[in-house]
Amino acid sequence: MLPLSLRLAIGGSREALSRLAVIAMGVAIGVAFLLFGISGLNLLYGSSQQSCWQCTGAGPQSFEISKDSHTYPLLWSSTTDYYRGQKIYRYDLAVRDANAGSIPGIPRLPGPGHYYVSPALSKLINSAPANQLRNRFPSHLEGQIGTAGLSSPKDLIVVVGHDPTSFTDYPLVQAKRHVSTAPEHHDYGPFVTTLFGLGVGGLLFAILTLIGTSTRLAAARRAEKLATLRLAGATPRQINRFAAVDAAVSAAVGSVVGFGLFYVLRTIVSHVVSTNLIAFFPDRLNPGWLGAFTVLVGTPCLAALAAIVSLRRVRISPLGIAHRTTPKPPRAWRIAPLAMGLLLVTYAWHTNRHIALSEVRGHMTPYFLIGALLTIVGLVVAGPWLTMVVNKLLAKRTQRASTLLASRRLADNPKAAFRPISVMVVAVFLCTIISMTTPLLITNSQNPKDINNLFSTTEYTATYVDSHWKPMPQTQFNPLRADIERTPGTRVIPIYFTANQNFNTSASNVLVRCADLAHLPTLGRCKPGVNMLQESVGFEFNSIIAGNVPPVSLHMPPGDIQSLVVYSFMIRTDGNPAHIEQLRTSIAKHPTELATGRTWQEQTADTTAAVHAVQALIDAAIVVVLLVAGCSLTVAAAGGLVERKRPLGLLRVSGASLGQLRTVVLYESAVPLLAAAAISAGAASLVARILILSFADRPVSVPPLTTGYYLLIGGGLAGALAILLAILPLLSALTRPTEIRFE
Amino acid sequence: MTATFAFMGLLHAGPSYGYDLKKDYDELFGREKPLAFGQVYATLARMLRDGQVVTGEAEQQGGPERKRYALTPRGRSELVEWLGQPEATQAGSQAGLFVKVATAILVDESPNDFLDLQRAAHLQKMRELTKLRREGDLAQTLRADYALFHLEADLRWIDVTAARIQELTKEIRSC
Amino acid sequence: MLDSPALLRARALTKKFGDTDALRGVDLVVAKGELLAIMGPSGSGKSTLLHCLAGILTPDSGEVWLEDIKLNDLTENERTKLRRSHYGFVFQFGQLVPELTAIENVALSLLLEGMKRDAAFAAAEPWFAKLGIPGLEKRRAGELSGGQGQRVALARALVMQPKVLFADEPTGALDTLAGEKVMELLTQAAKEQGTTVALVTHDARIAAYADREVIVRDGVIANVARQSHVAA
Repeated sequence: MLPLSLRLAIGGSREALSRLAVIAMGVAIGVAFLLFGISGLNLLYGSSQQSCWQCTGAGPQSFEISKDSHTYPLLWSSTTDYYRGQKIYRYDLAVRDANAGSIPGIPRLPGPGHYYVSPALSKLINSAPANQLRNRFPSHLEGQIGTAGLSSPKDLIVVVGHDPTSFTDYPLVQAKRHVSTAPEHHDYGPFVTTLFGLGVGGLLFAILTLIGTSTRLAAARRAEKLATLRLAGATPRQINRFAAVDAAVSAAVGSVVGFGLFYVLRTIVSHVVSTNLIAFFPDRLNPGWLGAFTVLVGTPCLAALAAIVSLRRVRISPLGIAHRTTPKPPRAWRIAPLAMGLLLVTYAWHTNRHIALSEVRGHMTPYFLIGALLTIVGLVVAGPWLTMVVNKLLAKRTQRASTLLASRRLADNPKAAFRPISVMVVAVFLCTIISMTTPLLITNSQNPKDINNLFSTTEYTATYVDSHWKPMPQTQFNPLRADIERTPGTRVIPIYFTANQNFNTSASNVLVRCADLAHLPTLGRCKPGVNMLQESVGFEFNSIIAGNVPPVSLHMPPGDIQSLVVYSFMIRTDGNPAHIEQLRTSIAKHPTELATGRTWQEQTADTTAAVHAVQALIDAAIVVVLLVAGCSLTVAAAGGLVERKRPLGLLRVSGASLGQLRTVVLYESAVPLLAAAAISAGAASLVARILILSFADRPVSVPPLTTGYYLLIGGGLAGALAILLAILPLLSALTRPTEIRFE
Repeated sequence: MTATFAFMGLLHAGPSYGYDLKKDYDELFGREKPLAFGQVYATLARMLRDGQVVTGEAEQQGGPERKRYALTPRGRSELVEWLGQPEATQAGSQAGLFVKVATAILVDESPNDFLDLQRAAHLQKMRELTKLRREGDLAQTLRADYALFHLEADLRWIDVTAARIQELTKEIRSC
Repeated sequence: MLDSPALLRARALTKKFGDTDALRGVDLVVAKGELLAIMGPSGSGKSTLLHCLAGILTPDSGEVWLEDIKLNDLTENERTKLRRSHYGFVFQFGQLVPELTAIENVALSLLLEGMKRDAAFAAAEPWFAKLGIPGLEKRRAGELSGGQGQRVALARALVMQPKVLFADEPTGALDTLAGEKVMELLTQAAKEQGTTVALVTHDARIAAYADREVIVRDGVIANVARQSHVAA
């Protein structure tokens, strides 16, 4: 049975080979995408072979330094530093005993006063003035970290060695057994994970639809040969077997081609992603043995399954496809999730309309979120039903034959018509919402200049002090302050705590001296007769700008002020990047638990860059999704053509022009694509408007969709339609009057 | 023999005069060849003798056409028995055609021409019969269909024979 | 029939497919209003002859005339238009669009010609009663039985009031009774409208519905003598 099936599948006729080629191409594209998806998953979430030595300081943090230097020979401290917007990962260590482990890429752990840098950081140090970067590190540069210790060529990493006896007083030091050898374990947080999961899942579904539709096309084109087999006496089960083997062969060829495509495109994709998002070594982007094997073996199996499933509804009689059982029509309940979603969202908007901006509007958030989610799901669920209803109506009204034919076909099997574009609907929805809301995340030019140039360490303090906090007396702080203020244009504004205060993020208050505050009048003024202002912890940039909670003025006797301990500090700068790096170098020379900080401008630039990166990712994804939708539609249309080869061909014999048939075929695919995209974008912009107007905490106007957005979506749709045009030569060939078998 | 059972069938519904019997028979079965009066009388007399029918009391004078015949219980059961058995299949109807074809080969006349001629004649007959069946009642349709199917069978044989003519010629010539 | 003018004329048609000669010089005249059966064994070229007469294929040599239009001179588009407006076609199976209703299938030819929807449906409607299938108008074509489907196909072919109806084994996929019914309806409707019919069949009983037959054998017409009484 199998050799016969194989012989039939491989056939040998030119028609059979061209069919094999077309289907293999569809499967190849799908497989290539799938491999990129799996590789991406591996890269972000997979356990790499590399051991994560940088993770030594991660995990449960314990700042109690054990006295047992034999069991815990390694003293380790991880901090983050910046240079002109680039992050530098700094690891300070001291070795108390042997067996502290080793760091891949360097021959031995650095001794006191020695350090290693990554190649990229080395280049940076050489290009920058010493007082802006080089002086942050001790005197002896021992060497560079080899590739074995890096995750990308752009990594900026420095490992500094210290003397173990003095290192115990170093801020944020932990005692460890050895350098971590555990493999890297990524934790991107629930939001990112959900987003990535949705993205990959959606793309996978689109790709699998493409592969499934391609193989269904194989089954449909095979139908004639299968009918002959039925005449020869083959049972339906044998037919299934032939169809499955045929599909599997095409898919196997497609798989191999897809692998080739993947390896060819890998370097380009790696470069593009490294430039815009996360950097990595290109050879790290691979599906792994398990992934590769699953795809290589799984695709033909999936194809065989799809072939059998698609034959389920078709009865192949010796005369050809005799009766195609009508699939069950989608029912009216499908509109319910969409309707409910829109209702909920409108309800949230309506309720929030009457709440003033200054008051908390968070109550409606769950309604809005559920409503938005229901809307997205509802669009996909309602899609087939809407397709059926609209096309049924159109069929009853239309004057033109081509529209009648197309709309009846769409109304007949709306689920199949909608399937290739279901993922696209969700993607366009998300892309529209994101495109409308991201401009609001980038708000830096509204602040006054001295706020932009305000350097703050408070954003980092909170992460450290939760578990462990050493109060810094002013005696320890003043030398640091003096060093910083040597940089031109800087003034330090310390933020104090009372010494005996029990630290508790929710209930504690911090203090600022009015004299210090006078350096930055924009932050606030003290009333006359007062020398301190009390703010709550969390006194960060956001609350400064928003001015939510007014400070409490009080007067403290000078003696009490002396005993205050420093919690964190802000620095008024002149904005000059060289000066900012100089003061960072000063801070590095006096290690404190405050690590380093950034100016408001640097922070927003970082956010902006992140937003742009996400936007770029979304842009790329939406183009991919639209093109995949185009491919899916084309393959589905080709399958439909093969199924209807006889009636369409005979129509042409009876005098229908090729142009009329072309209209039918294009309408069936193009119109659902465009209509679904338009409806999805429309619903998304409504939801986005409500999101912006109802939940902003300050008065904003809804930004219009940019030309970039229209170009992107329009371009993607145009690309999909261009792919669809490939169906026309097939139509012409299949319906040629000489092709029709008459006896 | 067939006429006997035909009469029995006609009498099954109820008694009938001899004259009416002949009329009904001709209408149903004898369109092309009506039954001769002599044959009718002879058949009816035999049926009387065999006890399949009886005559009524009135009108004892006059010929069989004036007599009123009725089916006896014996006649009824014989009829049912006859209906329960299939008709013997006729195997010799194309004998005439075969002889002609064989003769044509022996005489060296081109047998294909004859087959074409016969085919045309058959088709013409079939055309006429088709017209007939569309214009008549169900009985007529049944008769016409019967003839049509047989003519079609003949045509099939003619086609197969035409395809085999080379072989046939060799065989006939050799014996 | 002797006095009827010729509607379709074929002169010295030849057609080759690769190395095979499908037609090797066919002359044929079809009179107006006549029902002609084209018979012959498979491979004889009868379907090819039909295709040439219908303008679906162009012969390698020879001419085909519809009244005073020479088909060979027409472009592909013009021939398509000719087929649409002057010819009707009934095939063995597979010509109905399964997702359309029966009446939509019938009206399709009219809609393709550009007729307005209401007019097209109004023209299509009476055919259902005429062909003995009242009440099936709204039924999906894919759900009809073989005989019902062929009647709908017949209606679609005749609703345009074509000059010639080309039927290629129209009863081939039907059982005897259904086939006979379809042939009766076909001949009746064609006679009523004055449509000329060219019917390809291998079934003698179906050919018996025609006024005359031509037998195609090995690419030529075998019973030429029979045709001579038809005016050229």
